[in-house]
Amino acid sequence: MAVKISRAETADEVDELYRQQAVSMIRLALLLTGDRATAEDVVQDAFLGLCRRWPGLTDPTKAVSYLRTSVINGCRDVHRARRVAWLRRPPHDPPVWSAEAAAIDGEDRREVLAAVAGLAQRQREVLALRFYLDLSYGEIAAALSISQGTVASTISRALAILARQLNPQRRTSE
Amino acid sequence: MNDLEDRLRDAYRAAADTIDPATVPSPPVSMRRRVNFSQRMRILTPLAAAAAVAVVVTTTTLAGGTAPRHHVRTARARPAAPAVVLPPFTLADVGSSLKVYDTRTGARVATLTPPAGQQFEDVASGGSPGTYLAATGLSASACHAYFYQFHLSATGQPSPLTFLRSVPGSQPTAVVGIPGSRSYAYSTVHCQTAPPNGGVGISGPAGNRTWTYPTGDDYTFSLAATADGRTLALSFYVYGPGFQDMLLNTQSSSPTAAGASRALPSVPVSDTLAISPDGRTLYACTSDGTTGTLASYSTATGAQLRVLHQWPVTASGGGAPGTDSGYMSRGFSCQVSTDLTGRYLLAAVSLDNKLDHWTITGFDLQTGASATIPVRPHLPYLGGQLAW
Repeated sequence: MAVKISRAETADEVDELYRQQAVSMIRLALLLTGDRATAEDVVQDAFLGLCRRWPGLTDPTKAVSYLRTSVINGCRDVHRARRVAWLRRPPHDPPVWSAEAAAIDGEDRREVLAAVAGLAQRQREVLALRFYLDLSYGEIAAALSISQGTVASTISRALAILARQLNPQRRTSE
Repeated sequence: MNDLEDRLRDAYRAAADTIDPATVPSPPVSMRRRVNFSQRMRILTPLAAAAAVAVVVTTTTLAGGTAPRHHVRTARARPAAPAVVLPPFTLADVGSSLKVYDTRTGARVATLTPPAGQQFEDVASGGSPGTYLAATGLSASACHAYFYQFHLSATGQPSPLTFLRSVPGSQPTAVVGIPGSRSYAYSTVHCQTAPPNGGVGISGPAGNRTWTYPTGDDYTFSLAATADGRTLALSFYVYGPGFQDMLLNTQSSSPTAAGASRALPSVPVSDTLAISPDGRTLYACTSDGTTGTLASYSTATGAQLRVLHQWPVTASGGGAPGTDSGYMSRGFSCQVSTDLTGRYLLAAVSLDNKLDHWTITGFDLQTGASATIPVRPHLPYLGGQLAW
């Protein structure tokens, strides 16, 4: 149901939304950008953007969707702005999945995430939304403004690439 | 569910869990302040409308010179500014395509798509009227730089892309035409870290050689050329000193871009640079955190010559000029380029945190007149993404 948000409640509601969603959004941004400092910047920018639009927001249930899309777009901007530099010179910390960072226990996890990092941008986004946030194809399609068919084909192709790179039989044979 | 999907979920969860909720920062202070600002703006909007009319009328007068004179007197006490005649079409590189806009009306008149699997990385005026250059890279994770030429018709319709060169294993970072010739300059960087790391090249009657980036981090964000092709202005990252404005002497025998270049430390580091046809004047942007400034500078001394325009900066952030964060200043980003003749300068600025909200202003450097161009392209990254 559409509810017009009163001005008096706005600041408190945005603060509350931040408390509820900040961790989840930063984690999503971390998976897409690779480093925490950038992830926090992207998420704070997304919340600031939400603040600008909040007075005109009629359906608070869409705030999370708006934030999610803003975070994805923010991560894209990071990649584009640093397009070349990103390939060679880590601007903040090493990617969380790199051996240098060693933030994640387990070689296999780092190997999987490094392989994901080599995928095309849309493939990375779709995989994170599907296998980290467990969003449905419809929710992913809405977040990325693409069709559900494109979601399905993108996931399928991305998994095929990962399967070739990661040899999924390896773990079971160990 | 299969083994690969399980591994993905497990890896994602492990990476996400490196963010401890207890260490997530508090809401930014400016968030609450911005909410209050937005609320105030809703109240003040009717009051602001009258002032906005004056701006629109002034802009209309500058752009088209058609507004009634009494409107001009209402808008400004001083005499009406001269009408600005600007290049008819403005080109914007939005990555997935090049969009051609009518400069006066802002209407999009054509769209040029890249070859399959590629995306545009740069666009610039070519060496002759109606000629433009484009750089593309692969949209997938592999690296390959391509450079093309195309023409615009009198109605703004682009010709098909004509292939000029490709550089395997590299990303293009900039391209520019040498005025009055079929020569062009370009820059690429290798996608591997092992040096040499790409470089700046020039091709055509004005020369045919390259200057390498000998270290792992060097690269050029933008290129501009003088009319004789002897000097290239580079917005450059150099290993060691960091971001610098450089002038590359294309007659230099030095094999490296840095060795062939002269740094201009007193000119503020800018996202992009423009240079006058005679090579005497550089155009660059800077920001002190509250005001963004476009100014001209002497290439001989580095001294500021004239402030062309200033914009209020609405967002915080960014570091000192010359630093990484200052270069990518979050509060103010600016792209400048000139047309083929060097008479007209195009400046696109982003005044908030978002790199996809740009305000474009056109300048007639001969008369000093300027006008806001009603084009609002989505420019998702920095670099020379606009051309006249």
